[in-house]
Amino acid sequence: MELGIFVQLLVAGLGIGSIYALVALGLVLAFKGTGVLNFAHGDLVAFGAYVALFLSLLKLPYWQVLLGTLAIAAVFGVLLERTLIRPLLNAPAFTVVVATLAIGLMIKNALRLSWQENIATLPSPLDGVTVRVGDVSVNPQYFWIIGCSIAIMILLAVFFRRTLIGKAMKAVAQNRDAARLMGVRVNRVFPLTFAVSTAVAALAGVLIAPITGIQSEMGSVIIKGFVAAILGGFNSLPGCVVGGLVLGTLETFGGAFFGGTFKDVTAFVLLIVVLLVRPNGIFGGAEARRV
Amino acid sequence: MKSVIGKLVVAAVVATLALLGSTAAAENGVTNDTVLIGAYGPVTGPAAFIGLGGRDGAELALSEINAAGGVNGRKLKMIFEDDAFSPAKALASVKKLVEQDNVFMVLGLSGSNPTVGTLDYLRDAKIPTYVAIASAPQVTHPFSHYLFRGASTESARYGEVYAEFLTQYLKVKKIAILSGADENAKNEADNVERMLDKWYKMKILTRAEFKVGDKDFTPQILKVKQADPDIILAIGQTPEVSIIIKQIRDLGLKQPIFGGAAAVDNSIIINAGPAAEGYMGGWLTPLYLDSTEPPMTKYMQAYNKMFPNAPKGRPNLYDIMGYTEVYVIAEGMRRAGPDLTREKFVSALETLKDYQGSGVASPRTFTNWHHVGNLNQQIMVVKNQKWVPVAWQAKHESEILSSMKKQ
Repeated sequence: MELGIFVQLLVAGLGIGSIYALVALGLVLAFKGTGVLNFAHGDLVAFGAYVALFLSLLKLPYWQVLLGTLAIAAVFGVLLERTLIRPLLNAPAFTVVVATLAIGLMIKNALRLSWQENIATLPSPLDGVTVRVGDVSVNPQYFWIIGCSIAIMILLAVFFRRTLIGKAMKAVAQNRDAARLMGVRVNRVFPLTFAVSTAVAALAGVLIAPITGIQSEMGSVIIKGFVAAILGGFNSLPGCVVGGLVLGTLETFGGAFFGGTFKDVTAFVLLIVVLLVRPNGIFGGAEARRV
Repeated sequence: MKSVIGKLVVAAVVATLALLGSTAAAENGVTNDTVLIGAYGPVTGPAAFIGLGGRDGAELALSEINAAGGVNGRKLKMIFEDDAFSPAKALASVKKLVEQDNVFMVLGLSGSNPTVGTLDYLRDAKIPTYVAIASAPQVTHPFSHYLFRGASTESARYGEVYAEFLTQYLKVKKIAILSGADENAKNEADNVERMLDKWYKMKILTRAEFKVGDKDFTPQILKVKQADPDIILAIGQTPEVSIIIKQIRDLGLKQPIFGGAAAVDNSIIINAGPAAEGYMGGWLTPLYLDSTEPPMTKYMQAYNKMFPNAPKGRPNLYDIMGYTEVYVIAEGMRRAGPDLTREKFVSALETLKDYQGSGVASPRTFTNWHHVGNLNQQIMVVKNQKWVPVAWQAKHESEILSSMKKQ
């Protein structure tokens, strides 16, 4: 394989991997803070993109669109938590998971009906810019995505390890009742976690949109985000980033060697192989519980 | 029943029912003042844009026809069922329309997969069926007196028109294809390859596949780049093709791009931006949606009046197809005369020759040996960020008709 082609494939793989990483981060954040696996996460990514689209049609500058979207998403996350998740807190965990699936479906169908363009686009400051080094070209939006992913990863890692609220979130995720007994205000932690993870999902939507366009099915990226999170060790934030980049790269090379329709196959074979060798993912530690 | 009165009551009820039965409507779905049309299509799920468009377009035509007095004194009424793009649900919808709602005919406003699921039932039950949108060959082959295809064209026709356009008008010699792995895209690309070989003895250089939902096409585009074609075909759905066009230009390829039938859309121009300049594709009606020609502006006015809060992206191609084919159906009913029966209706449809019910429609022809209503495709090109028709019409006789003639 020519060096130029190899590098181009590598760059493309890291690029798409950064998208998976960003989606995985939001998913794992929600899990770390509540213990809830939020299957609506992909559709919240789409929601964020559509909110940004709506704001951009009001002719607001990009920064206002971005911050406005994050704010609206945070509020929406709290609303979801209050109306749909809170009543289910005492239900079995599986019920909550199915509820998030239903929420995702509702959001997706609402988006489908309200915006029927086949694909919409979000104006971005980097429109029309392509970075070229020799034979290799990169969409600079990918730098933005990976930069934000790493920034979020560091911020969240510090947050969970160093701050009181972060530790409270981890406690709530581990054992809600015990956390309550220790004085953690679960009724504050849940909405806060949902607000932040919805905002991260919306950020992913805004950053991905200039590359992939905006359409109601864009939430399907959650599947790859999920795989990336598992690859990295589901509870590990750096694992999300590494898992995403590894997934994107191997999937792209798989597509080059075996044909475009084998990208997904490569992704899932990779997942199976990694789980066979390291069941807790690349960075996951085995969960130890005092009995 | 022990008592005499009880027996008398039963006899009276039976007699009344017998009388009512004998004065029932002469034909299913037809009364003195109404004709009932049953329609199905996806209004939920990812394919909802097809059914929503088809249904609303049909409703617009129905309201116009009814406002002008209906057909032979009868108003046309439509009952619409959601099939969620599932063959099982489509069949259930059609059965409900035929057996419970007693519709006069069935209008298919769904895609190929669900539509194919209904055809055996409708053919056996001899229900006049007009498929406006699906392109699956099973609608018109084998020939059935009761099944018609309207605005959409046979899936094989795409291959014929593209092959002729590429070789005779663009005169390209080296073609590479990027095609989706989904049924429609795969068939479309297979048909192009087949007709290029059959009619013009041309083999394509390379073909790379992608899946619906993919966001990066670098491996496939690099494969095409290595083959060094004169033109690149991108056959798939709008979201994927719009990214493909951008990435083709980003990766430094300068060849013109020709898109599949599902990828002729204003949103591609908006999404791909300057990269879309010169992009070509086939469109099923003579005018594009934003044409300033009078028939299209008239249509848009009527549409915006009936649907003032239409979401962005509407009306779409399926709005137009639902609209034009209701006019064809109404013409068939008109020609069948006031004594409307299913047999008379299908025979009347077979008298249509180059019928254009509306200025935005392609001409419609049916005969008593084929019900392939439309073989026309208008090739469009993006010029200055707008879709503009290319002044070219296919001339090569379609094999679809010539193969049916021999039967």
